[in-house]
Amino acid sequence: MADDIAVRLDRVTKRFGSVTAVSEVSLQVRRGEFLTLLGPSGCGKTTLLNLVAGFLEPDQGEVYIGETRVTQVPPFQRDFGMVFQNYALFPHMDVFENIAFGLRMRKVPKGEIQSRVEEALDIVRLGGYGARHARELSGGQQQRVALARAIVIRPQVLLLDEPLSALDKNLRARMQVELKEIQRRVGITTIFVTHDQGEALSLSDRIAVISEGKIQQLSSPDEAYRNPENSFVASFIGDINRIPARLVEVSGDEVAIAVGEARIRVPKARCHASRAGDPVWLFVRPEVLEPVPEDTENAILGTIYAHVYQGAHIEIHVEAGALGTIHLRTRDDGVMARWPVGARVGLVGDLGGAMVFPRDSRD
Amino acid sequence: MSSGIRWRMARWLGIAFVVAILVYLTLPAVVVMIAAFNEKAILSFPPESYSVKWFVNAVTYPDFQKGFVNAVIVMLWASTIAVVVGATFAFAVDRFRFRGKALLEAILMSPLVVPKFTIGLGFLILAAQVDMSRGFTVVVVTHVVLVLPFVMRCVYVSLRNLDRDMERAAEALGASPLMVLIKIDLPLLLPGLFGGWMFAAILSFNEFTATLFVTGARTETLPVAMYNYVREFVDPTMAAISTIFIVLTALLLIVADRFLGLGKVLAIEEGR
Amino acid sequence: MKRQPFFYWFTVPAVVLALAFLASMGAIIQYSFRKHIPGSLDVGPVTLENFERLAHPLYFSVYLDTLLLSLYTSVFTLVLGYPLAYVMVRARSRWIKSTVLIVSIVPLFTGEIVRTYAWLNVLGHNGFINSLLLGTGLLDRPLQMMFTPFGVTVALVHFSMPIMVVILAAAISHIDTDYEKAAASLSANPIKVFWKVTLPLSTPGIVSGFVTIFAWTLSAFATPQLIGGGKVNMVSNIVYQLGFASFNFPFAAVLSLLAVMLTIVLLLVIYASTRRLEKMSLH
Repeated sequence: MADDIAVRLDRVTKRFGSVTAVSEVSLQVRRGEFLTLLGPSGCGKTTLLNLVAGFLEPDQGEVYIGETRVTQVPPFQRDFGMVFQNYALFPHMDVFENIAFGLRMRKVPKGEIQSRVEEALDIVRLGGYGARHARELSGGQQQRVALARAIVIRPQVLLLDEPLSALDKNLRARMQVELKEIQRRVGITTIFVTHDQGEALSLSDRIAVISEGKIQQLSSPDEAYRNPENSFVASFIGDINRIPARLVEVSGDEVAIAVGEARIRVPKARCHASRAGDPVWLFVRPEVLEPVPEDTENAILGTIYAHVYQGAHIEIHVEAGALGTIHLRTRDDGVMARWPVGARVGLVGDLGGAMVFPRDSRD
Repeated sequence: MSSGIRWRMARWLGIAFVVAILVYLTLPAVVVMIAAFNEKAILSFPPESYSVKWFVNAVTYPDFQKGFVNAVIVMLWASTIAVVVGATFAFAVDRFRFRGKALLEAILMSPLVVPKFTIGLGFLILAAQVDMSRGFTVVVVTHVVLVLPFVMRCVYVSLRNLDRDMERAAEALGASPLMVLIKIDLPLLLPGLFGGWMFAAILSFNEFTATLFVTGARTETLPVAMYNYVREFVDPTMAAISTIFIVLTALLLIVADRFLGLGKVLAIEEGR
Repeated sequence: MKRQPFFYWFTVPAVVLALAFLASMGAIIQYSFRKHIPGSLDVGPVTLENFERLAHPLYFSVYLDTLLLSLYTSVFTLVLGYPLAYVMVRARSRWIKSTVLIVSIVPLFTGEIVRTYAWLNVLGHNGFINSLLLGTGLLDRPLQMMFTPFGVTVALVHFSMPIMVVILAAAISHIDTDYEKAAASLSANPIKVFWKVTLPLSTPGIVSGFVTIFAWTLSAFATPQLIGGGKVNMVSNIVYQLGFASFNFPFAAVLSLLAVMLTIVLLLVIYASTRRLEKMSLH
């Protein structure tokens, strides 16, 4: 069992002064998997990564890389590769020397350094760039050098600290594909930190959604998107409407909730509140809802507030009084003409995929 | 008068004022350079005839020659020691918390504000007490104390511009702290250290007030020799050596500027 | 970071140097309490009489002159330095910026003696200004500028300018030009923009520049020594005279100590006023 665990965190806690950045986190990263730590800034994901790297020492708990306990081991004696947000390519060395650095530190023989650096350059498709200077490379190329530098030492785990965030949008999409492809080819265990849920969904084998120093959900991207375990995960992954409602009745395999005047039925499996009368949040994806005449039975009522044209689809903002603003998304251009700004509208949809979570009455 | 013309006049007045200040700042240097080429021993403007004989006089005057050698000796020692002390200390201050750090920093920065004659007098008395008053040691130590704050600032600037991820990246690749220091920090800080060394050298070479207190006949540096010359003679030999000084300093500054932008160093001059 | 004990050695040179500096200051303090033996470099037993000598009106007037000269110098340096700093930061042309920078900064590094000597050439009896005024017939007798507080101030202002410009430039460059643009968009004319926005926002720099120059001038030596020529004396000149003409190091030590105290008081004033300014800007 331990054989296929590359990194293990065991009830790890890290405090900075009075702030607890990471609180009793346990996590097992499987060998060869691409695991993403996803969360908003300040959630503790970077702290977690630095604990694995050894740039920080936990106040409590243990860190293992492979089968070795490394909690007190300084970074330079741990076995990992890392790509930094700004790549941190050494400006006083050329590409070859940058990549060779880790091998030299490990006292790898000269001839082998040569061949391994060239191999690494080939892997990142930068063959022949060895003599270039980091300054002369584009952002994407620097990114690939940083990646080559991290994998050439064949570490047990590769740590990626928001490596794509410095790239512009188009390049980022290309590098995502390339990163995933290289990772699969090399078969290296990877821990990836990002605040971009799109990136997390498209790259990861598993996602750990993190908030307030805790892992909120650890699951496949698909599971996190379709079946969030709590309201934080639901609101963080993908665009979603969060509508205040009240649980009215639990019957059979369905629950009934009141959303404003409307009564809506949701599968019981998708409801995390239990008692009738509880205040709840209803989470509905914008693409699920569609506009209907306001007299439709059990429609959520509101007024069209704005149309936001976004090319591939149109977003419609509906002002729904105490329910707040509800967004819907459609590909149908005709909607703008049929439902002009200011029109009264009803909202219905297939709520089989909607989620219900308990709500503090304070919220 | 239309408001357009008024504004244009105000603008020209402003420009004239700034130009006047610039003239005020450059005037002494220009005057000294003209005076240096005056053939007569007595100051007069404009000079009736020109000559380079005062330059010859200046570079062959034994006291200046000896003063120059002494100043170079003191400068090399003082600036090198100051860079070693300043770099190691600035590094420690930037990276570690230790007891007495703020106090130590305050003591070492205080020569910026303690009057130089006080520092000179202090080291003079101290040297007399430990019986070192006629050697180079006391001069060098005094100079190190005086230039250290400037060196520390140069090193701070470079340290602040050093991306800590560079060190982390090296550590992640298996470099021990000592290796990180040698392979990453040192090469990346080198321009800043060199800039700091240059500033220290210029300041040390020019230092006068405190030096006057701590030098003796054997250790007299060039500025002190020049001071003694002005008190005794009035001929343009001083103007000639001042000209050499100004030109050399300007050249050195341009070199120093290359390695570490002047603006960058000076923009933090404000400090605390 | 606690895993790197060898870095602690990095503080050793600094500690040694700090101790040397403290020892020199300690030497001054110790001497100030020792009896001066006329004609000898050695000092006698512990005494307070050096401090009693301070009561003499001569020393009071030297300190007063020093303070006044410092005051004039910092006022004029401020008035002349501000436009330079402003141009240096706000001029559009790179060429103008670097010209102003070089002209203002180079004197900082040419040393007291060279600069003071240069002013002797400008202000002297046969100096540049007198030659110019007599030559053009504007005057029929040379102006007496040497050995006057005026001459000393002119040279001291020149001496202090680089520091002032640097401090003010730093302060002005921290002012977001959007404030000025906003004021202009609200139809304030350039002069109003300057008085109502730029100048108030650069107050921290003005205060810090003023006090720094004040403290800096308090310890001036070469300039009053050569241009004052014994007729305009500052504390430093008296200390030097006491030390090297009458070998009265104990009393020189007392005067030096007093100068350090004055500087400390000034620094406290800077500290207090900047704190106050910070508070004001927060409200």
